[in-house]
Amino acid sequence: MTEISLYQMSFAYRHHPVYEKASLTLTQPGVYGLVGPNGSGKSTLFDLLCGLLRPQTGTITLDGAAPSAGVVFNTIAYGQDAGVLYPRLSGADHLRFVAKQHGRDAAAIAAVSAQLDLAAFVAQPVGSLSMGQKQRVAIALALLPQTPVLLLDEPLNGLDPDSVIIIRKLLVGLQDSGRIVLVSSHNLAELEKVTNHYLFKVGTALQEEVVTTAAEARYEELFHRAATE
Amino acid sequence: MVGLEWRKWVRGRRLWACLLILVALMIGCLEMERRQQAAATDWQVRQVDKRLAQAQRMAKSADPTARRLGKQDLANQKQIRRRIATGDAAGVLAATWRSFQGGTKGDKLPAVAPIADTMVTMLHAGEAEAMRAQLVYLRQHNVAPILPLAIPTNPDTATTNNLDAYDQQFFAHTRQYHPDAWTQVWQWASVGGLLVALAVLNLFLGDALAEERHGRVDHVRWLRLQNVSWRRLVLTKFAFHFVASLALVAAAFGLFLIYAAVRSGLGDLRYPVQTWVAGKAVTPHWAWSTARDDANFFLPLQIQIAPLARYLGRYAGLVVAVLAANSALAMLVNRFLPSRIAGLMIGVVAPLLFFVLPTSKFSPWTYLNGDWVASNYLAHVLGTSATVWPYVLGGIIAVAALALLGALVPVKGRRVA
Repeated sequence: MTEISLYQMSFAYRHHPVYEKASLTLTQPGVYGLVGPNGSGKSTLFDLLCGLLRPQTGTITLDGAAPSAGVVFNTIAYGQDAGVLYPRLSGADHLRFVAKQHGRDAAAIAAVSAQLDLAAFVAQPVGSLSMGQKQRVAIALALLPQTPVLLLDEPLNGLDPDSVIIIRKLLVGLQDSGRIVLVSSHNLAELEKVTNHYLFKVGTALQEEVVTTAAEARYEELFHRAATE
Repeated sequence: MVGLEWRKWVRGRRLWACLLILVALMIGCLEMERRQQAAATDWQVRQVDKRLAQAQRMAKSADPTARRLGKQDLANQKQIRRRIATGDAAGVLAATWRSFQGGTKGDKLPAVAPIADTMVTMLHAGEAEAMRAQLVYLRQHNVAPILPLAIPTNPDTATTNNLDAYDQQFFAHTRQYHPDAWTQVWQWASVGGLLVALAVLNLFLGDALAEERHGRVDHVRWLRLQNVSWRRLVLTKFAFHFVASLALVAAAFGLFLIYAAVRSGLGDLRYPVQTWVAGKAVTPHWAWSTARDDANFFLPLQIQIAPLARYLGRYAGLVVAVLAANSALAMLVNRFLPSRIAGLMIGVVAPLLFFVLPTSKFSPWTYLNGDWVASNYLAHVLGTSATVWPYVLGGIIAVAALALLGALVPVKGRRVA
């Protein structure tokens, strides 16, 4: 069983604190929604978990080990914004590269392509694809490695309805995949359809909650009422 | 990583356009040279025509001596005119060699047809000796000269010869011409062709590393998560940049060779080239006002004739070293200036500074003069008698290594905005 652990972790951008003595331990597989206002530090958390940023104090461990390049490579797949894709290369080129790096075969590529319905455009240059198509390719690249932890950063942003449905189905399927999946999103309505287990970025801390009521109502409670108070 | 990079280079870069430009420049240079050679030949024929007219007038003179000399001169000038107009290189060489066969002080002075006889007496003694050495070499190795026959003058010795150093017409019509394939490479070395090639290559390849971090995009972070470290990324990019540069230059040259072989022939790799080596002081063969013992103007160096193959071999070594340094410097510039435009502009402008910066032992561009390095004239510029080619190559390779080390300093990478 994989464990993600933050202990008394603090991180700041140029004296602007993002996390202060934040602690969290995740061991249970499933989909977790990472929710917070814009600019609150959701993507920063993903960067910290991947070792792309280092906390000023405190520790982050993945299965008890610091997130070195090797540990992250074997433990985490990070589905970033589609902007990381090379416009002149096709989705297939990207998938072949990631597959080779992670020792995955053509069958794995085919399975992931089928999951995200990429067949119609995977051979086209990424630069010619729509936003939703690019996003699906980016997510496919994160699914391919089959790592114990999957991070998806705003996977539902700016998508057409078809793409939203495909990704929602994917996320529902990931609930029972045995993996820890963190999904950051502003689309609470969609997140609700996938999970009720949330990580709320409140101030400089992380609050893990199981929300039995509407997620939007809880969001309002945490962020809007706090603002007015 | 190699596969991904290969696809990026093949699909993302207009390498065909780069190749086309290089080939066009090479072929253009050849055609321009052939045209200038034809113009020089025409000019020489016109000079002979003037003398023919003069000789004809003398041949009709009332004075019997003048008439005899005029008829002799008329026959000579007609022969010279026929040789030049028909490209009879062997005939021109034979005639010129006969004149240079003298050689003890006080003997008849040498002449280079059809330039006025007294032209040779205007030469610095060292240049006359270089001329003689060139002719000896051509005869001994049975190499056909390139017409018009070159007079190896040097701007350095302009203060001691009687030639008007600013007489562009003279230099234009007595300089070495390069009308075939191998001699064209010689010309490229002389006119800074390597620097032009670098500018063209960098126009297409100069942002090889910067493209990973340009603007809002940062592929570096994504690649790091795919187990591609910054070091591996830089070394892969460097390898592709260097190999692509070599391949483009080699392919362009290959296409040029095919064109030149059909157009004017490949040329003779034994052709005599002036080089500078440390040696004994030159003893002038003739005595005239400028043929003094300061024939040893370049002391402790002297002009030595060497085969073109040796010269081109050294130049080829320089080209490979400079291409490696160019690739490493491109990585360094891109590392610290992650802007594609900056990488491209610096890559294009920097080599072209060669054409505007003054010569100085403190200027790196001085050491990129292909002709000076291959002929060792650079030793004279630096005030040494050593053969500098190995040191220049070593220095360039050291610069490449340092630049690559600098580029390997890791970057943190930015998140996509």
